[in-house]
Amino acid sequence: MEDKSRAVEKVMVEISSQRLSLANRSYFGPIVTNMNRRDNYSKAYFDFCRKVLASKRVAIFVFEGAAISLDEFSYEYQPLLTDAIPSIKRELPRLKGEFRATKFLLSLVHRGPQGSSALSQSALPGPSPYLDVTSGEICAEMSISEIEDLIKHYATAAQFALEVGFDGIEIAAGQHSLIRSFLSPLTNQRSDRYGDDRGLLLRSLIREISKSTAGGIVGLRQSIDELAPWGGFGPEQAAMDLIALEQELPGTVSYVLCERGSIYSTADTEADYSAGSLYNSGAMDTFATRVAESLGDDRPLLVDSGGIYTDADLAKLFATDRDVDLIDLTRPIIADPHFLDAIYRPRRCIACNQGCMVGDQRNFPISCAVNASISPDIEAPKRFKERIPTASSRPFAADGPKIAVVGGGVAGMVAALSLARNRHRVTLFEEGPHLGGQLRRYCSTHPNYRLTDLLEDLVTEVALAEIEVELSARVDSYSEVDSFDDVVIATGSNYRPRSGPPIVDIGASRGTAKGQLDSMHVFGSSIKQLIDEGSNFIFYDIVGDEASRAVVKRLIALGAQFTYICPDPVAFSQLSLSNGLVEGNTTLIRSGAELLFEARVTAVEERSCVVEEIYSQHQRVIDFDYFIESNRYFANDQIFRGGRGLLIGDCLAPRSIRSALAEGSRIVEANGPSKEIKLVGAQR
Amino acid sequence: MKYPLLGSSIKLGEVEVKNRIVFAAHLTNYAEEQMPSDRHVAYYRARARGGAGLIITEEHSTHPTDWPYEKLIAGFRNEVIEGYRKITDAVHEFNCKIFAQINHNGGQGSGRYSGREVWGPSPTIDPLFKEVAHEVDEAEIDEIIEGYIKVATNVAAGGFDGVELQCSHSSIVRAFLSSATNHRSDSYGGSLEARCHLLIRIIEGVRGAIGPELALGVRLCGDELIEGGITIDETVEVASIVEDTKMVDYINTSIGVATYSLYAIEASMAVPPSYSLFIPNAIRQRVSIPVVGVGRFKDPLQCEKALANGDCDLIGVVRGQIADPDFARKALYLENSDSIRTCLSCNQECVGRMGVNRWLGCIENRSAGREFLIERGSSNQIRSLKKFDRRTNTKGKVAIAGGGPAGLAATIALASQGYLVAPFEASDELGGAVTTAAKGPSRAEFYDLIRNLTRELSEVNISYNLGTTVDRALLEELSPDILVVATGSQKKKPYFVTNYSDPFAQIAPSTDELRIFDSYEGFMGLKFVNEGDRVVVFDEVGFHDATSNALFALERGAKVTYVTPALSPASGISLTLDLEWWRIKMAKGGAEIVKNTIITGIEGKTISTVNHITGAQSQITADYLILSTARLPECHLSDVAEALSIASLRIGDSLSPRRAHAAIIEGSDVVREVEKRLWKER
Ligand SMILES: Cc1cc2nc3c(=O)[nH]c(=O)nc-3n(C[C@H](O)[C@H](O)[C@H](O)COP(=O)(O)O)c2cc1C
Ligand SMILES: Cc1cc2nc3c(=O)[nH]c(=O)nc-3n(C[C@H](O)[C@H](O)[C@H](O)COP(=O)(O)O)c2cc1C
Ligand code: SF4
Ligand code: SF4
Repeated sequence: MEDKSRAVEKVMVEISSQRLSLANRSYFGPIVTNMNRRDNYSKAYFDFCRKVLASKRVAIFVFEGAAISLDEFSYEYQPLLTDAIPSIKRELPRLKGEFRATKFLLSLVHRGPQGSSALSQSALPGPSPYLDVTSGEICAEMSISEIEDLIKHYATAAQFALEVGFDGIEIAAGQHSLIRSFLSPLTNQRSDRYGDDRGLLLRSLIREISKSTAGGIVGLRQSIDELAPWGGFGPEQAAMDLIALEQELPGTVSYVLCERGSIYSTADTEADYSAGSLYNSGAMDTFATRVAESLGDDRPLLVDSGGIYTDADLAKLFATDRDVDLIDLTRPIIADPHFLDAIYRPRRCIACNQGCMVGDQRNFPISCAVNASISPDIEAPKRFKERIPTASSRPFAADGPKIAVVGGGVAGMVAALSLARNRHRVTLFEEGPHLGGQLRRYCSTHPNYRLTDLLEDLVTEVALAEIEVELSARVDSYSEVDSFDDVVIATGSNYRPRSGPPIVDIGASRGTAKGQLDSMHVFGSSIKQLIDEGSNFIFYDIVGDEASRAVVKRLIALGAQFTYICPDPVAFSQLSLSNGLVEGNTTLIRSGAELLFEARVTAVEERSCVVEEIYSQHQRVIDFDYFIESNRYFANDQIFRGGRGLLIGDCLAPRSIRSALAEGSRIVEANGPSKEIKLVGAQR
Repeated sequence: MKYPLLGSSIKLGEVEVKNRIVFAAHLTNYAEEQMPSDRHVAYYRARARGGAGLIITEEHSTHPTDWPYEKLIAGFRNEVIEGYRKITDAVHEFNCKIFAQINHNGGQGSGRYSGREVWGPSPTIDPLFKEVAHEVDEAEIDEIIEGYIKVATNVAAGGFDGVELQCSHSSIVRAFLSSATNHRSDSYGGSLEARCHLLIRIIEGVRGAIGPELALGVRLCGDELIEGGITIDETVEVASIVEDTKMVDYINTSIGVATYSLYAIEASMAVPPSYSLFIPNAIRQRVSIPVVGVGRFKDPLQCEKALANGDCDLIGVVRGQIADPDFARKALYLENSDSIRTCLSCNQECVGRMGVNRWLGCIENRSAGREFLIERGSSNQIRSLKKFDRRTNTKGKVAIAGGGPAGLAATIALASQGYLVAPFEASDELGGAVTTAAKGPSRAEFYDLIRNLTRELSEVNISYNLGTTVDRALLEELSPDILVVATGSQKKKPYFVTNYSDPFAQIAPSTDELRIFDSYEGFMGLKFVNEGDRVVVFDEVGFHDATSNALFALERGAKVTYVTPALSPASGISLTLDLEWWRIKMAKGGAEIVKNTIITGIEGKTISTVNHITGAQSQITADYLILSTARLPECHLSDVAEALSIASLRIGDSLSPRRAHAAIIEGSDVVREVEKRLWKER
């Protein structure tokens, strides 16, 4: 018989080591949410905590980091511990009461040279003056007395954290931290004792902290590999630092969360799908082996972090015999707060970083591409509220108004789901033979291999919900859905070629017709033929988003000959927040494709286009067989414009999965208990 | 009166404005949770107290789909009125008039904050935010207009004297006006009249909401600077259509599109003053209602001339009044225009901070954006003032080493607090690195920073000891209570450089040696550059020192190659809106730009490089190499002082090499630090 149990069950085993007893092996990390303020942990943040803790099973939950001192002000909504204490005192006890299986820790942060002087309005402290690539600033070398102050601040902060009710603290010594910059030979060039012995700061700090945290958990978030091609430390050195710490202060550190990265590898801590799953495991193995060899069983518990998104990844993790004690499940739990439940509704994290990474100056509040309910409640648009009739308040009865949802793409499926959950009677019309819309057309070959999971999850949910699905049912006018109380239009977007060269019907006219190519065709299989024929492609990318990167990666993977043209100085400017910009540009540059940045296409002829360099206004003509453009998708709303019906998703304005999903979820305001769809048992 | 036209009053509809100086609309990022804040109140109060005739506030959003940046005031929410009241009351105390700018940014935004789609006349993509707009239908157009009416009603209730409709550089109204973004075929698109349809409906709606007493203005874009966009001829027509409604009292102007050509709107010093005066001039020839001219007005004389010339009826002075809130008072009422702290048009702390969602500040004016702290008595300076007993007169003797911005600001701050100061500068002129920086092409106005500080220095009756190097002997002799070290930064040799060249030595061009200079000495070293010489500028930092050197060499006919490890060149001057101008000049001069590249070694005149992404190695032959790499603080005097048991304090670059604003902040705040040190000592 097929083994139907989930790998997550292996996470659900109790841990009781000398240092730490925990309900299970799950860990939720200190994620920047931008929901807090400098002087308080907000109500919205505590709501966020409740949402992600919904399974009541998370073993360790680390609060968003607090700045330990005034001069640490890395992002605008970073709480300052001393100022935020009242807000914690107010809310934390209640939270702890609600989630008794969970240990609540506070992450204590000083980013040092990687902070922001724009906010602190003072020089950034660091071990030695160096030019930091993240902050773009040269830090000020800390004096001995400033180092001593730092240690004191850390110890006081730890004491405060325990006093206000936390079960312990986590020391931020990972990628973005002042402590790492002391540990690293790249950035610590001091000639005093803190330079001769680069681990001294960490050890002194933990010594002081342990004095005031007796009985509390002391976690350490450590970068175990700086990923600097020259000079930085790797897992061996990181292990030595930890071993030295253990030898001097045995038993003080309860667990070590292992992450990778330093100033030269900013995108590696929370990499997106392009890093693959379990991307820290190589370094982790070296590190863990070293630590175990030297410390035996009496060692801090080790937390594996990075690239664990789904049950399948967990299965892979447990397939090897590794010294891993706890597992960082931050993103999978954000995507699906019931991830740890044996029975759960699947909404797997797609490793996109499009919603949960908000750590830049724009201060977007945290959200999730696949789980819209995690965002703070945004008021639904006026027209939604006015238009969608409310269902009867009788719970669990699908006797509400009859709604037609036209279009079975992401937006349509999610709208149908949220309506059905709110007791509306829903019919979902899809013109094609399958649900999935645009997502289905590209997901199987999209470089984000997790998109197929999303499609599967949504289709399963729809199948299990009480939704009448009409496939191969094209709706061309309102008259066809007249009998419904209301209509939701989710017909997505269409490729519309620019005027000029013909649009190529890739299926029909292999190798003969040349001209404009729908970007979606890049994800089909017929494109291979064109590539094998040695065709020349031009990809003109005005947008620079996730979809653009996908097109580029697909072209590269297929070995296509192409020229990339974009008006910006770098490619994929929209991916700076989700850690995709550097990865995307590096891939593009390494591919050997011809690159024309800061250039515009001014005219497209049959087989060539005119490209103007923006600054020199120099023009040149480039030949192509196929011309692909990134912003030729337009709302498919012609039939339904200005009429009855609510437009959502790409047919309102072509955007992303994230917005389609969010709009679909917000189509109806929940009133009263929502009607739970059947939960999917342990069948994966 | 020295500037009679500038000082004369004018009526905008029923509203009498006491002079012609307008603090035109600008974002501040002072809003908290999308509501006006105390920071706004104090900020506007300071400019009203400073004599401005009219203040036009930053924009107030008219609709939930309009939320392009986080700290936008949501004017459509009723809760704003209380905050409005506080602002207008504060301003009215000084007989200054205040209008609210109201706006919907349309497609020039993103849905990330609002969770909504962005709206526009047609589904076009914004060049910055890169979202395709939702083409609004009739019902949505009605909703937009309702939004304007709602906000106008709130504004009137909040005590404003008028409303300005932002229809220029970032606005859905401009998007409707422009053929580049309006492709509609209904009654809102096509002919110019049709493209004005939305604007006219908004004017009618808003006028209805505010009644006849309040003033109503329209801000128009004179030239979008994009292909197929609005140009001045069309704008003049629009102005005339607007005037014909007889509901509008004045026209304000601007140039460019905020999400595409911001560098034209908030022009840096690379752009000549009065660059945009052709717009009000052209409009004024057509309409009879008053017209406001805006753009790099830095001193009252320039304003007076524009008025005398008939270019415009009022002058928008934005950055000029950020830098000196008392601009108008000094020009008109104190008749002391020489004492105006002129804006540098550096864009570093005003515009530059807007782009990164930070509160507006100013490189020269430590108080900008902190007025509310000062009012509350909780700013650094005030705190120290209160703690220190002024009568005892036991303030210490402070020696200041260094006459750059940090040293100057510190000397002024300390002297005005009653300290005995002894300031020293080793060279014969004040200014330090700023003096060098100002020698770069189109960077001369940066020197105004020093000119302004020197003037403030004379106001506290202090003069510097020039040509005097502070050393052990001097310190022993002075025996100050504390030494402020403001000696700037020093170059650091990157590993691939064995020796820097002597910038003072005149070397014959035939030499075989590659001449290597640090960017701070580049202008000196490049003095002898010949036409056709090959100059490589290697830039790790991405700021003006590197870019200025490249232009400096280019202007002298050199063949320039700019090399940077970064993905894109000179990112630091992008926020200050200097990048476009620099790139255009570089392109014109035929300079080459090499990205993602580091230097690995130098052999004779050959520089070896490697692309750190591809690993590709190459070599460049050059006559000169200019390096903008990480610098080190120059702070050896701290050690000297320590050896003498004299307390010392490092500020500006000598604490850590950064930019001028940090020097000014640390110099201005020095009093508190000095006290702390002296306290510790005792
Ligand atoms: C070729 C192509 C690739 C795309 N890739 C992504 C992607 O990687 N991430 C994303 O959020 N949206 C991507 N999109 C956009 C979404 O597919 C689209 O916004 C979503 O399906 C809208 O849902 P709806 O059709 O139900 O309205 C892509 C679009 C195209 C045309
Ligand atoms: C920081 C900053 C923000 C601005 N934001 C706006 C705005 O929101 N609306 C507007 O109409 N103009 C805005 N402007 C443009 C100004 O009104 C003015 O046109 C421009 O600063 C040129 O005038 P100046 O040289 O006197 O500064 C802004 C200017 C600055 C410096
Ligand atoms: S936003 Fe994307 S990466 Fe983040 S939790 Fe959601 S699905 Fe996962
Ligand atoms: S920061 Fe520079 S440009 Fe801005 S107001 Fe101050 S001096 Fe003027």
